[in-house]
Parts: sequence; structure tokens; C-alpha cells
Amino acid sequence: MAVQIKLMSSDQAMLVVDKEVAERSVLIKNMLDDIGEVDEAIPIPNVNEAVLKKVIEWCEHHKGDSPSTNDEESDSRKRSTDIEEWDQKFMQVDQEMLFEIILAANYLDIKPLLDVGCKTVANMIKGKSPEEIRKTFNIQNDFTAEEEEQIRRENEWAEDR
Amino acid sequence: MILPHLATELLLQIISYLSPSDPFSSPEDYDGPPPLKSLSQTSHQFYSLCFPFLYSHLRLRLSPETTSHQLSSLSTFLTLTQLRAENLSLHLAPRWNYKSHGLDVKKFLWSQQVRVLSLHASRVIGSDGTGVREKCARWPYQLQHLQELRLVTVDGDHDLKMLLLRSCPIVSLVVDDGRFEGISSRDMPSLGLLGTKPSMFPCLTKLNYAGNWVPPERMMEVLSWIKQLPKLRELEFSLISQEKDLRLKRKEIWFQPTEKGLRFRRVITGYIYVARVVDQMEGLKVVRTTDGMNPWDDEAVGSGEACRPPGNYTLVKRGEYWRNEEED
Repeated sequence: MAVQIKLMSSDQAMLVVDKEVAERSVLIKNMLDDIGEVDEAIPIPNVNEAVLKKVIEWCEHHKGDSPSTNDEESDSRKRSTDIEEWDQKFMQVDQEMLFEIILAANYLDIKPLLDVGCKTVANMIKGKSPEEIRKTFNIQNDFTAEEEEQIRRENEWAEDR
Repeated sequence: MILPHLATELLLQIISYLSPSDPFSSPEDYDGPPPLKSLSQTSHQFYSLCFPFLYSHLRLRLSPETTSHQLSSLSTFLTLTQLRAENLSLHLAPRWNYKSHGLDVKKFLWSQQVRVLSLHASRVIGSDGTGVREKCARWPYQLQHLQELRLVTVDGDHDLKMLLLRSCPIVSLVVDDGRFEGISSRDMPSLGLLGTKPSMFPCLTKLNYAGNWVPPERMMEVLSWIKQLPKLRELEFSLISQEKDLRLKRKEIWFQPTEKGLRFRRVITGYIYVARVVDQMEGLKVVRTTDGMNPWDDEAVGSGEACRPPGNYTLVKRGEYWRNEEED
């Protein structure tokens, strides 16, 4: 039978999870390596129950994944639209949850999940005008008309991307 | 939680995914709103975050109307913002150097310590494509930091000589030679690179040549030039690069005088030339064809006995051949 551990979310919910699944988090893995077997729940103070459940769902699906090599990593980093179908569906959540997953992945040190989250946001930016991006992400336009014109002129030198 | 409230390191990671995967800058306009530029125009916060990413790849369009002032204002902008255009694309319009700005351009590339350069010219059929050349043999400003170079339909050697003479330290060269269907031998543009001496590229180890329906006589000229490169280890080529499906039946290729059949036979001849020449290049280790269906592959198109892969190489994976190790 698989070894299980307990995780305690920021809102005091206890979640029981296979050790192998939890160890997708480098933070938890290092913690378990340091303290050995533990009966008590490991506190995850920055992540609430709903987000922690989502993160565990992702870790369970990806528990068998082999760690990517540096080459693969740098290659996959270049293609922001390149997200597995399951991950795309997994990331079909509201923005609040999407950003919480990104924060949790960053805190728990789950790099592949962090990458998928960031790629999802990047893909939401693609194909949109500045005004549409502002509207989508609730960004306040703090430019004056002159500044906007100045930036457009400067941008002419930059590659169109 | 909203996007602008994410930590800067996370925002930077998101922004990094908006960069293109191509190592070379492109002068082409993005198809749709360019994401990095659009994001940079949303607010001061995102402008400053996107700034270094935006200016890591620059593009300059050089035309007869280009002035020295435009180059110097870009240079001043980069100096004031403490940026360097290490990755640059230059679009060279016909007769862009009509007012002799060659030295200004070279000085700009030198001052920016450009590492990756992409030169794009517009092919004008029937023109000699040579443009306007300044006397440049004594120009200083060697581009010592240049590592990768891409040439897109650069016909004529004037621009190359102006910008790259006397020695060019690149290790990787990509040549996009354009399309050739419908171009008669009388109107065949001259490949600018062939006007330079191979010894000008003493560090070049990897070369990628691509064209669409490249005539065999042009391929022979290209190969004669490539053969003289002193350090070349890896050759990648494609003679029918934009043609997706070459599942022509044997009888269509060999016996029917269709236009496509005739062109295809010429491509097969090109492959025969490549096999012959790479066999003679002792320093070369890897030959790779990126054509979807290559005539060296028996199953591909039934190109006949005459078209065999180079004899001194072994097929390692699809389209890739490694030189056999010599036994003692």
C-alpha cells in the first residue's frame, strides 16, 4: 500500500495524499527528506483547501511524469501554446483560481505546474489589443495620450511580437 | 487576486512566454496584435516589465529614404536605456544604400556588439540584386561578437561584403534561398554568399541551406562553396522546403513531362550532387535533410537507383546521416 501523508491547508482542512503524489512538490519532498516519517499534518500556510485540492489533482495526474531534461525544458519554454490537452482543461478555471494555482505552484515549488499556469496566462494575452488585455485582466491604464504615442513610436524598432 | 498584483518574478515568467521561439529577429509584422507590444502598452507597470524583452530583438528597415539621423537616434535611445541590440534583423530594400549609409550601419552593428544578425532582402526577378556598394575594404568595425547569421534571399554580394568583410566569426549560418519555380535560368538571381570567400568564415561549423525547388546547377554552385569551408561539421539542407507532400508515383516523376515531375527530377539531381560532395568532405560529421519526403529514402518517392544517400554516412534517424567512424 502506498505511503500516505497529511497536509493541512491555510483554512485548517486536512487532506490525505500519497507521499509519491505530494513529492511532486520540491518543498514538501525536501521537508520529508529532512524530517523523515511524520504522523502529524504538514502545514501549508499559504494555500487554502480549494486550491490545495486542485494542486493535488494536478500532482496525481502527473505523478508518473519523468523529470524533464534542461534541453527539453528550454525547448518547451519557447512554445507557450504547447500545453497538454489535460492541462488545458485543468486550467479552465476563473482568473482568481488560476492566479492562486500559480502562487501555490510557486510556493510549493512545482515547476511544471507553474509553467503551465504561466503559459495559460500568456495564451490569454495573445491575440488581444492593449485595451482588450486591460479589460481581461483588470489593468488600469495610467498612460497619458502623449506617453502612449511615445511608446508606439519606440516600439517600431522592436521586433513585432 | 488580479494579474498586476502577482509578484514581479511571476510576471516576468509569463512575459518570457510571449517571446518568439525563433532565435533570429524577424522584420515581418506579427499576424494579429503583437502580444509583447500590446502588453507593454497597457500600463507603466507592464511597460517596464516588457521593456528588456521587447528590445532584446530589434528590427531595422533600411530603404533609400533611411537617414543617418534615424540610425543615430536609435543608437542614442539604446544608450540612454542601457540596452544593447544583440539580436537584430535588417530588412534591405532595393537600393537601400543609395545614399551610402553602409559604414553607418556597420558602425551601429559594431557598437551594439550584435551576436545574432538576420539580413532580409526582397528578391527582384530580372534585377542583378547587387544593390549599391561602397568601397569598404579598409573599413574598421569588425563584427567580432557575431555568432549566428541568417540570410534571407540576399542576392548579390555587396551588402555582405560591406557588413562582414574581412573576417566573420560566426559559428552558425542559415541561408534561406527563396523559391525557384517559374524562374528561368536567364533570370536566376545570384546567391550573394557565393561572392564571398569561404575562408572569410573560419569558425563556421554549422550551415543550414534551404530553398524551394532549388535547381541542380545552383545546388552545385552552393556545394562547391560549402566544400571550401574550413571548419564545417554539420550541414542541413532542404531543396523543396515548402512543399508538403511529395508522394509522387514513380511513373509520374520519371515518365510524365508534367511541370512538377520535371522540377522533381531536378531536385533528385540536386540530392545526387549533395551525396557526391558530402562524401568528399572529410571534416563533415552530420548531414541532415529537412525535406518531408527526401529522395534518399527508398520509401519516399521511388526516386530510382541513381539517388542514393552518401556512402560514407549512416542513417541515424529520419533525414539525418552521420559520417562513419574510420577504423584504424
